[in-house]
Amino acid sequence: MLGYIVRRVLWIIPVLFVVSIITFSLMHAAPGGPWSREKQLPPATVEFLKARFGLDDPIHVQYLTWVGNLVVGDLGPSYRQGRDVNDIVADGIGTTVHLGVMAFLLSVVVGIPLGVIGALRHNRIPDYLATFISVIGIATPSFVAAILLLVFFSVTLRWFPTHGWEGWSNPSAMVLPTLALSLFPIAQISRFTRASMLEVTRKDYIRTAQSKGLRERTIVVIHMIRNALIPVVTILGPVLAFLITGSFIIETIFSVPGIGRYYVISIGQRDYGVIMAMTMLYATVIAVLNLVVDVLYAYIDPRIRYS
Amino acid sequence: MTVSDDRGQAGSPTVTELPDAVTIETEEGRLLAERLADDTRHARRLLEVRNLSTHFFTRDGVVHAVDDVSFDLDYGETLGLVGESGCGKTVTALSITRLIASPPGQIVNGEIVFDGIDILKLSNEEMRLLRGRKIGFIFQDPMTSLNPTLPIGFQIAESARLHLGLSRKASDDRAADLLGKVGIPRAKERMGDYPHQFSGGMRQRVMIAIALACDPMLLLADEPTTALDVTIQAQILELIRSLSEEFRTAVILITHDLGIAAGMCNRINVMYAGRIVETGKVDDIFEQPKMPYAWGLLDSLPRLDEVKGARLRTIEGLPPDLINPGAECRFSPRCKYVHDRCRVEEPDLSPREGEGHLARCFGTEPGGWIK
Amino acid sequence: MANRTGALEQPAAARARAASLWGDAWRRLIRNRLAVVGGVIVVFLFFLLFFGPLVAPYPYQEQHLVELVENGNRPIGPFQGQFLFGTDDLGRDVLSRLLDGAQISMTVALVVQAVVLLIGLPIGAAAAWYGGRVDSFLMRFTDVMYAFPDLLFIILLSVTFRDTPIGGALDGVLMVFIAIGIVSWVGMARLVRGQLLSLKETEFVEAARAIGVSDFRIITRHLLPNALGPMIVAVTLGIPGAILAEATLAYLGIGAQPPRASWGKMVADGQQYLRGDPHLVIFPAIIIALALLSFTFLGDGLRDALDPKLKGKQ
Repeated sequence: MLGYIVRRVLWIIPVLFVVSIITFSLMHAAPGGPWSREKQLPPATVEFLKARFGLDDPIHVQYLTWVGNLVVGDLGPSYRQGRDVNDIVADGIGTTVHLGVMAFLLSVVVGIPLGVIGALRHNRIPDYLATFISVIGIATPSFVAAILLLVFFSVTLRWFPTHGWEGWSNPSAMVLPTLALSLFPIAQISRFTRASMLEVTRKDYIRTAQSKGLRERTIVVIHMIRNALIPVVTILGPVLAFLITGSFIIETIFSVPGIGRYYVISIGQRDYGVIMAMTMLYATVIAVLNLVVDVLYAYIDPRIRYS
Repeated sequence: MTVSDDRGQAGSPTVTELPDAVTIETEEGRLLAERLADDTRHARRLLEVRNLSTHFFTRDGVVHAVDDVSFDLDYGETLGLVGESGCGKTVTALSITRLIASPPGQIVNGEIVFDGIDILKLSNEEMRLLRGRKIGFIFQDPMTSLNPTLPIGFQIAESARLHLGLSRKASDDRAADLLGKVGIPRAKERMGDYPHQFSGGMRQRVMIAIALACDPMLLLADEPTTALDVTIQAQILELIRSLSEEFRTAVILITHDLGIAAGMCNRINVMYAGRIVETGKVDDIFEQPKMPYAWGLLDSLPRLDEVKGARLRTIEGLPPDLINPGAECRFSPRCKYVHDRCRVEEPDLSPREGEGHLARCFGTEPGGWIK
Repeated sequence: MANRTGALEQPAAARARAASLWGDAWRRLIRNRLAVVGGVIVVFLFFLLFFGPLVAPYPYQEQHLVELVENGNRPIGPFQGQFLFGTDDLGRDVLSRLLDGAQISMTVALVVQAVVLLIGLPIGAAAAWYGGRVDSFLMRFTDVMYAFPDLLFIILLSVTFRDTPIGGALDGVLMVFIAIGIVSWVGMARLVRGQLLSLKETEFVEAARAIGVSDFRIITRHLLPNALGPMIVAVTLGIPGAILAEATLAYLGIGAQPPRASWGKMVADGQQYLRGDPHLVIFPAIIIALALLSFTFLGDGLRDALDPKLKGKQ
């Protein structure tokens, strides 16, 4: 087990390395620099800016400098905002993480029971209800959900504010963004859990449990659920990745002051410094989270843990 | 038969202490609750099955998996249910313990009296009290019949804790004890291991331990060795035999292998197409079978004194479709000795030579055409 | 030969059943009502792909300025006059634009899946068959791709090529195909690899090799047809992802350029009018939902129908 963990941790390094090369190459392959779109700057100014940001060094030097900085945690400068990316991130990361964690918890706390109930009351009313909710989740892109929630609950009903995330000091501002972000994961998790539970219901060892005269509740909780939930852990990785990328849009629509919003802005502004740095940040976070999920999976499945 | 002290804390739930506050709804249930208080025998026979019919209602029609089956079982006796795949032997066993999947299956008729209690009249909750406690089941495939995410010690101790009201420690001790009895070396250390850490044969031993955890009166063993290596088969069968003898547990052994049945059983029921076609003491069945299907089965066994290179003998044809069985003898399409009467009318089980020896065949009846 | 319920079949009947495994799957599919509804809508969407522009009442980019002014320079509401779903703030007919968006989305979905198959299938098959270095390389490569979140990579690619000739091709839509395709083929390659690996070790493959059947033939004639089921399901279930990705990109302003009417773009344009003219967002949202759901239900239905564990059972 330990060997497995160590190998997986070490594996992240080459992966991120390749990601950095790809990111760097793409950004530098794009025609036009960070300053070419907006009002035409005089060439001399552009030259000056380039020199200042080290953009006139040979490519490999730029790359190595960049990677070197990344490794020590320096995300580099923003070309358009006059700040270091580190500052931008420091400002917003707390908020983004807060939003992400809340959405994750909501997805799991709602999604799993929904799936379990749907499977246990297969083809009856609770199942239809659970399926209905998950259907809405997969049919609605997060931006559509966000917009509709915004208009309906915020503008029309005025139950929640349209913006102004301040964390726990303004709880009602957290409701809609969290809900909008978790709609799709709830659907995915509940569908998957339901399928997994249904499969477990048909297994031979459930029949053995029945032949022992166990209570239905015991069979469901002790025999079925643990077996059904183990595969569910495997989709937590993609769910987390979704929460991270989905946060861009939600933060933009609800004006949540997190880093996702900046990412969207820098895409529009062609601020390559920010794009590259934040891409690396996201990739690293997702790689680490995937690692955690994989280790968790290996831990909770006895077949892997004791082999 | 009583729960002896050397196996841990004796004692079974009394009427007022039923596990999980099962409410007693039926008359039979009240009777059951009293019976659970001790292990003495309350009836003439352990099991009396009368006219059991279990059907499956499918999109293509009603499958008569078990049709009008009747037999008895004495306390401590080993009975064999022999027949080929699909003849209804597993469904019979599942019907006895009422584990038939309820759509699409259903016990449509019959009476099953276990230790004097009419099982079919019990409520579901009451039936649950019997399962594991008085009736143990060994399933066919040890690879899939154990929960992969729970330690085997837990899986064995579970029913003891539930049905016998034992504490955690007492039930664990009992489980370790049983594990040793079924032949797992270093049993106490292996209590926390998981099924995938055991071989097939060892897993089946664990299944046996689970089935015997509460010292049941009846053990239903559904092809317990079919999925195992031949060398392991003998060990497992011997284990079942010796344990059932030691604890005076009655066994219904389901198998398609006559050799196994011969070695283990006191009596044998031969089943075909959902019916019992011959029944009797093991010696009678083997020495003087009175039904052409039984002959076919015996004949198809390869023998040590065979002429080398001779072809294996089979029974021609395939078993019938159980969806709309007609009124004729179900074996008639394949029978070498068939007469016109067989194609029109189905014989009843009628007596032959030997105590309790019955066969379902016109031809072998006294005055029939088969000698 | 007994099936689960213990029923035993006459020999002739058994032969007839085995001969139509696909027929079996089809029958199971038909019984699944959701899948059938999904399938019908999918067929309808394909129809729109080919005949959309012919059916549209107006050209999607045509601005009906006269009517717009008459309406006080505000988008025209639905179900009122000549515009069934109303118009947007530039006086363009919503219905016609939805149809254009259907063409875009369906094209994206199909082209992406075609790319996924063209690249993923051979690579996955090669990895499974030849094993060794090819396989290792594929697995490592896919690990890297997995680390890169899909949307992120697609955005990155799109941003990079935005101002290049490719970026401008087909009104910006070509780039979206390529980007989504590049990200998606990995899943198919892994699926094919997995399927073939488990089949490779079977005895009939050994036998075929022993007889001297060429590798290529074994793969195409024996292995791939068995993997066909899961592949079909994967393609069908991959389409909602592609449609969603395209819509999200369009919402962010990447991909289809105006005046093309990607559904995502319509939502982005319409959100500011939600208070007074919700139809600008609601109709695209509905059709997006329909498209996503129909492929999802169809895919689910196909998966259940083709499930090998259910073959031969009722």
